[in-house]
Amino acid sequence: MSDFASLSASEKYSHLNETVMNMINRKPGWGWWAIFIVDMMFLSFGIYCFIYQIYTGLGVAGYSHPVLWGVYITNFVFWVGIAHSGTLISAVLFLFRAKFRMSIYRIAEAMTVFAVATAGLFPIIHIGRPWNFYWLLPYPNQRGLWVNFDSPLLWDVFAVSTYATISSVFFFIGMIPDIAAIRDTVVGKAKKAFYSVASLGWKGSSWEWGHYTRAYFYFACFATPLVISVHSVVSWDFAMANTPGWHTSIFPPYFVAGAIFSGLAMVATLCIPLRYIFDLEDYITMDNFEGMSKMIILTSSIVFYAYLIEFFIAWYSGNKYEYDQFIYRAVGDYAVFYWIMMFCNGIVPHLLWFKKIRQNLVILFIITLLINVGMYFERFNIIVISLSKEFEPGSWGLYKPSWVEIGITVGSFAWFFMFFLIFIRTLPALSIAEIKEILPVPKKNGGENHE
Amino acid sequence: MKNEDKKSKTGTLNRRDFLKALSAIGGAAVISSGCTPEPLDKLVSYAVPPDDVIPGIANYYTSVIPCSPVGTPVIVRVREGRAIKVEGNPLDPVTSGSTSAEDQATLQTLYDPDRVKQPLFRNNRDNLTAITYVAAVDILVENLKNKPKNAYIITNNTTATTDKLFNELAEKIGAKRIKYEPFSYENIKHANKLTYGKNLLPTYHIDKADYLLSIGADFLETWLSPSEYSKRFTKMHEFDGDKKSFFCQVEPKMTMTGSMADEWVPVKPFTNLALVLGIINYIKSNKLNKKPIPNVFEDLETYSLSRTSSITGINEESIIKIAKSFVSAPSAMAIGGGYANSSKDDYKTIVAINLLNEITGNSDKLDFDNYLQLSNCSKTSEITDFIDDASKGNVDFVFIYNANPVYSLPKSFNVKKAFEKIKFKVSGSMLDDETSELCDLVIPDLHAFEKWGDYEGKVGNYYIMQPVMKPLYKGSSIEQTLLNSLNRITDSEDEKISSYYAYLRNEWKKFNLGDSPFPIFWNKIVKDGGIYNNNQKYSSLSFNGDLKIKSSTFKSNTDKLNLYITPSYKFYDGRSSNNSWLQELPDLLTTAVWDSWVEINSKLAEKLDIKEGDFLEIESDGKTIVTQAYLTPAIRPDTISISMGQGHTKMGRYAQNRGVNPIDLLSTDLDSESGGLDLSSAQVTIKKTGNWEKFVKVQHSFSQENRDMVQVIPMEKLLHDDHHDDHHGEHHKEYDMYREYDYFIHKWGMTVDLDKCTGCGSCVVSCYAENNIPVVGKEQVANGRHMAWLTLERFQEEINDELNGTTRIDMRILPQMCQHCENAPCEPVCPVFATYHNPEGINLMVYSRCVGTRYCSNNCSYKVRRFNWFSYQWPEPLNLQLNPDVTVRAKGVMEKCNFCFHKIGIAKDKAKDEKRKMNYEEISTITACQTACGCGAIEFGDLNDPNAKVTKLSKDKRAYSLLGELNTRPTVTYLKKIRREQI
Repeated sequence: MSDFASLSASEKYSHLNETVMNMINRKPGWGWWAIFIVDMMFLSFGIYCFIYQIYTGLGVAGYSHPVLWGVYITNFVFWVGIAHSGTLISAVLFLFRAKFRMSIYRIAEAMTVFAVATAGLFPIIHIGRPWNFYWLLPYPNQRGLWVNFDSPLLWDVFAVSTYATISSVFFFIGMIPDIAAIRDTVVGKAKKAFYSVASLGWKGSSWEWGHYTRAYFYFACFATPLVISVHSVVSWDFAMANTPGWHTSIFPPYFVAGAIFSGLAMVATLCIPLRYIFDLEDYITMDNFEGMSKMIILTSSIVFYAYLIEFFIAWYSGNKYEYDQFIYRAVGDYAVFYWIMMFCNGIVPHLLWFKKIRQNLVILFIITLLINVGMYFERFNIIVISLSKEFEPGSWGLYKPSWVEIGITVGSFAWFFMFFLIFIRTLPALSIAEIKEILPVPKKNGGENHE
Repeated sequence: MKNEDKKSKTGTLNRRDFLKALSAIGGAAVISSGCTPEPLDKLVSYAVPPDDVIPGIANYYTSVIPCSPVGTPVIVRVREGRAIKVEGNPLDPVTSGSTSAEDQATLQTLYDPDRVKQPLFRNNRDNLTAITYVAAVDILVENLKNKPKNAYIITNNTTATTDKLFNELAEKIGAKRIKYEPFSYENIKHANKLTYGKNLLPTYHIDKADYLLSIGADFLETWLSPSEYSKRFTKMHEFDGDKKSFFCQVEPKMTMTGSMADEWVPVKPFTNLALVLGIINYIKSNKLNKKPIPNVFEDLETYSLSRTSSITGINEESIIKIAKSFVSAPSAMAIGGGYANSSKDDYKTIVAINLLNEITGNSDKLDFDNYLQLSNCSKTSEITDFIDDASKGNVDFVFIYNANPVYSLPKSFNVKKAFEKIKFKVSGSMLDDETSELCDLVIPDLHAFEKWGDYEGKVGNYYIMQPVMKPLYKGSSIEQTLLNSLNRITDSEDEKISSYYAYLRNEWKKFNLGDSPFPIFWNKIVKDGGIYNNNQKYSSLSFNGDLKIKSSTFKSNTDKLNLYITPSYKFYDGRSSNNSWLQELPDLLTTAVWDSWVEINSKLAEKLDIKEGDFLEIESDGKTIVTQAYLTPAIRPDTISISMGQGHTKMGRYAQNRGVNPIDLLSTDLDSESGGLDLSSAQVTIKKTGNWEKFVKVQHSFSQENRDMVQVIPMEKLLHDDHHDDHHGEHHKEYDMYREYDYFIHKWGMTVDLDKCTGCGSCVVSCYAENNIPVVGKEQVANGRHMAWLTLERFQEEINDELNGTTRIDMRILPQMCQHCENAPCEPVCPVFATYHNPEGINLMVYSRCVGTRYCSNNCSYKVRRFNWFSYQWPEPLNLQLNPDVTVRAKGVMEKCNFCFHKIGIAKDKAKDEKRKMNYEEISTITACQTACGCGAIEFGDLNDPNAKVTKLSKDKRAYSLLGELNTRPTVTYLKKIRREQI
C-alpha cells in the first residue's frame, strides 16, 4: 500500500495496467491447475448425474410426494439471487456515482453472468422431460400449440432470459476499452487475434469515448429495473401459488433484498481470496469492503424483518393453514434448517456493525460464507417446508435430497467456478478504465497532479 | 379433373395411396390378432373375419370368478381378444353387481407372470421339468390305472359340474375326497346343526335389522359373503330420511368392519361366549325376553354382570347397554364371526348367539334355504387326518387342486414332511405354490376366463364360466384333464364325451325346465351368466330346546399376550398374494403395503419401549416369527394382531419371501366337536430384536389437524334441523370477479357418500385396472411415489372410552380423487396448457403436452396428482391387461384422475350413433370407481341435469366440498358421515 501510494501518478497508471496484464499473461501455476482440475472433476460428476437422471427418470432424485420441488429449484433461486448484485453494483451504483464499486464491479458482473448461466440450467434439470424444454418458449409451430401466459413459470422464462441477455451485454460493453488495452500489449498471435476481435476495433479516440460513456449510461438505466424485476418474477413462482407459506405479498421485496444480500456476500467471498492471490490490495481496498459490509447490514435487516413479519402475518391473518405452516417451520421436521437460516441471515451479519470485524478480512470472509449458506437454506426452507405440509393432512410427507441431486448441485458450483477460473485468466478482472478515473491524472510532463 | 389426370398418368404409388395401403395393412394386423392375446409374427388377414370383433370396440362376456367364499359372477370387458376389465354382474341376486378388490384384481391372476405355463414333471426325484400336456396326461392316467391304495383328492371349495367330475374320479379310483378351505366355518355349521338341525352356513338377512350386533364377524371383509353383506349392510345402515340402523361390533382389534361400527366394543379375545351368555343372563334376569328361554346353558346363571365383565374385559354398563339396545330394537340381529369364535369349544358361542336371536324373536332373519355351498366343505380335522395318514407313509396318491395346506396349516403339523412321504402327488394349481412345489406332476389349470365351467356359490345360483379369451398358454382346464383321464381309465363301451364343453352342456340340460329348445336356453343363460335363485322366501326355524350345553372354561390371565389372527380382505387366506395390485393396495387401517406387521396397542408399546417399525420377535411355544410393529390405539392392550396372507415361501415374485404367516405360530390343537382349527392356541411373548426399519405406509399422518376433511353430522341434527339450514343457504350467494363457465351440454360431477363408504378398496383396484396405473413396489411407496389416482385416505380421532378404560378411534375414510375444481389451482400455473378445463367441467391432463414442471401438483390443494418418476414396467404378460383406450404414461409426465374420460367418449359416441341421449345406466357405469363400489357410495353424473341423482345428492343437506373455504369449487361433492351416539 505504502509502496503504491509513493508511486507517481503515471507510475500508478502503468502499475494498474501491469497488474491486470499480469493476471492474464502469467502462466497458470500448479495451484490454478489443481483447482481447475478438481473443479472439472466435480463438474464431470454433475454431468454424469444429470445424464443418469435423464436416462433413468426423475425418480433418482429424492422427490417424495407431496414435495415435488426440491433442491433443483432451490439452486435456481439461489443462483438467480447471486446473479443479482452484479447488475446492482455495476448499474445501480454507477447511476448513484458510488465510487467504491469501481474496483469490484467487473468481478461482480462476471459473477452475475456466470450465475445466470448456472441458474438457467436448473429449470431444465428440474423438469420431467428436459428434452422438451423448448415447449416453454412461445414460438409459432406447426402443431398450433401456444404457451400459457398466466403461468408464473412462463414469466420466469422471460425474466431470466432478459436478465441473462442484458447482463451479458452490459458485461461485455464495459470490458471493451480494457480488452483493447490488453490487445495492445499481449504477445502471441492467437491471443492477439482474440483480443482484437473482442475489442471491436477500439482505438480510444475521444469520439469513441463520448459514444461509449453515453451507451454505458443507457445500458445502466436499462439494466436497473431488471434488478428489481427478475427476482420479483422469481418470487411470483411462489407468491402466485396458493400454497401456505408461499402465498404472500411480501415476497417480491423480500426476495429482491435477499438476492442483493446474498449477491453482495458472494462478491465479497470471491474478492477476498482474489485480492490475496493476485496482490490486488492496491485496488480492492478496505473502503470497498466497508461499502459492501454496510450494504450487507442493510439488506440483512430487511430480510430479517421479512422473516419476522411472516410470522406476524401468519398469526394476524387468522389463516389456519398459514399459521400451522409457520409453527411447523420453527419446530417441525426441518427446524434445524430454519434456525440455521435465522442465525446466518438474521444474527451473524449484525456483527458487521463493529468496525473491527468489518476490517478483519478473515472474519468477513467467514461471515459472507455463512450468509451464502443461510441464503441457500432460506430458499430450501421456503420451497421444501411449505410443500411438505400443505392443506391436505393425509398427503403430508418429507423430502430428502438424493446423491444425484447433491451431485448436480455440486456440479453446478463447479460449473460456475469453471467460468470464473477461466475469466480471471483471460479477461480483465479489474476495470482498468474506470479505476483510472479515481486515480490521480498524470501530467504530460510527468508532474504531479495538484488538483 | 387435373389431379385425376395426373394420377392416372403417372400410375405410381403416391403418398396418399401409400398411407391408405399402410392403414389397410395395419387394420388387417389388428383384426387378425383379434382373437388371440399373443402378437402374431405374420400379418395375414382373415378370409372370414370373426363377427364379434371390431377393432377398437370392446366386447362384454359374462363369466364367473370361482373365488371363495361364494364366487363372483362378472362381466368381462374384452378388447381385441384380451380381458382388460372386470365388472360385477348386476343380474346376480347375491352380489347384485358388486365386486371386491380381490375380484377386480383377478385379471392380474389371469396374466400372472409366474403362472405355470405348461405341465411339469419330477423325473428321478429331480427338479420339476416341463413336459407336454399329452405326456402329462399319460403319466397321470398311468398312475390312476395302477389303482393307488389309499388315494386322496384334495381340492378347494369346488362346486357344480367341476365337483361332480372330481367326485367321479374319486369314486373310480376309490380315493377319499377332501374339500379343504382354511375358512370353512366349522363352528357355525356345528352350532347350527345343534340348534336347528342344519349343518349349514345360512344367509343372514342383516338388512332387516335395526340393531346389528356382530360378535367379531368381519362381514365386510371375508366372512361368508362379503360383497353380499356390503350391500345388505348399506341397505341397513344407510340414512333413508328418518331412520338409520345401529351397528355394534365386538372384537379385540378394530377391523375394517369394526371401523364402520356406531359402537365398537373391544372384547378380550375368545371370551365371546361369556359376553353373549352375560347378555342372555341379563335379559333373563330382567325378563326382557320376548320368547321363553330354553335351558340350553346349564350354568347360565353364573354369568352375572360382574363375572362376565371380569372375563371379557368389558365394563358392566357396556354390557347392559348392548343387552338393552338389543332387546329394545324393533328388529335386532346378532351374528358371530368365524375366526373370532374359533377357540376350543367356541361353537358354543354361535349356539349362544343363535339362542340370543331366538329368545328376542329375531331368528326370523336366518335363512337356511339359501345356504352357502361352502357348507359342504370338509372340516379341518379331515385334512389333518389325511396329514396323519400321510406322515405314516400310508398314502400312495394325492391329487391337489387349488388347495395349499403346506402354507395355510400351521407348521406344527409338519405338512411338508407328510407330503414328501406320499408316493405320487399331482397338482392342478395355476401357481407354483408351496404345495405344488412338492408335487411330482403339475398339470396347471386355466384361469376362469379361459375355460368353460360352472360354479354354484349359494345354493340354486348356478353361474356359467365362459371363456372370454383364448388361453394364454397351451394346456387345458382341470375339468378337461379330469374328463380325459376318466375316459381313459373307464373301460365301458358307452359313448364317451370327450370335450368338457359338451359334457357341461349335457349336465346343464337338467336346468332347462321351460319349453324352449336347449340351444336357445343355453344361449340365454350364457348371456345372463347363469341361473339365479331369486327366491327371497325361506322357511321359519324351530330351535332345539332340548339342547344341553355346559359353557367352557376361559383361559385365566397370564403374562403372555393373546394372538388374534385376522384374515386379509385383500389376500383372503393368502391365495391372492401373488398379485401386485393387491400387494400395493394400502391396507385400510394401517395404509401399509407389500408386507406384514403386528398391531400393538400404543400404550403397551410405550410401556415396552416399542416404536413403529421395530422388528419384534413373536414367540409362542418355541415357534417364532419376526415382523415390524405397528402402533394403534384400536386394539386391546392384552392382544396383538397379525393379518394373514403374507409369508409365502413359494408362489411367485410378488408373494414369496414377503412378510410372515401368523398361522405358523399355532399349535396342532383342533376343536374336537366341530373339527375346526383352534386359532386361540397361541399365547405369545414379544421381544424387540433391536432392528428398526421405516414402516412403509402410504399415509404418514392420520390426524385431521382440525381441518375437517371428513365431516360428520349428528343424526339428531339431520332429523330436526333442516329448516334452519335451508334458510341459511339463501343468504350466501357467492360473487365472483370472473365469468362463470358455460357448460352447454354436460357438466360432469361426482358425489361420494362418506356414510356409505366402507373402505373396501375395490374402487382403487378398479381404477388401477381401468387406467393402466403402474405398480411401483414397496421401495418406491416408501419414497412417497404411490401412483393410485384414487386413494382411501383415513383419518382418526382418538376417543377415550371411559367405560372400558381403553381408547377407541373414530375412523373416517375419505376416498379422494381429483376434485375437478372449477377454480382449479393446477390449471393456470401450467406453462404449456397440459392441464385445462374442458367444456364439460372435467379438469383434463394432456400427457403428451406435459413437460413435467410439477407446478400443478404443488398448487393442488388436494394433492391428487401423481408424477411418473420412472418408465414403469409391466412384466409380460401383465402388459396384455393394459387398457388400449388409455395412454400408458411415459416417464416425466404428470397424471391424475380424469373421470374415466375415455369411457365418457365411448358412451357419448354410442348414444350419438343411436340418435338418443345418454341414459342413466350408461352414465352410471362410466367411472371405474362407481361400477366397482358395492355400497353405492360413489355417484357420477351430469350436474346439468336437474333430475340426475348426482345433482340431487350434491344439493343434499349433508353435502360439502372438501376444503371449501379455498374456493376451488370442486365438482366432487362429499356427503357427511352421520354420527349416531344414541340408538
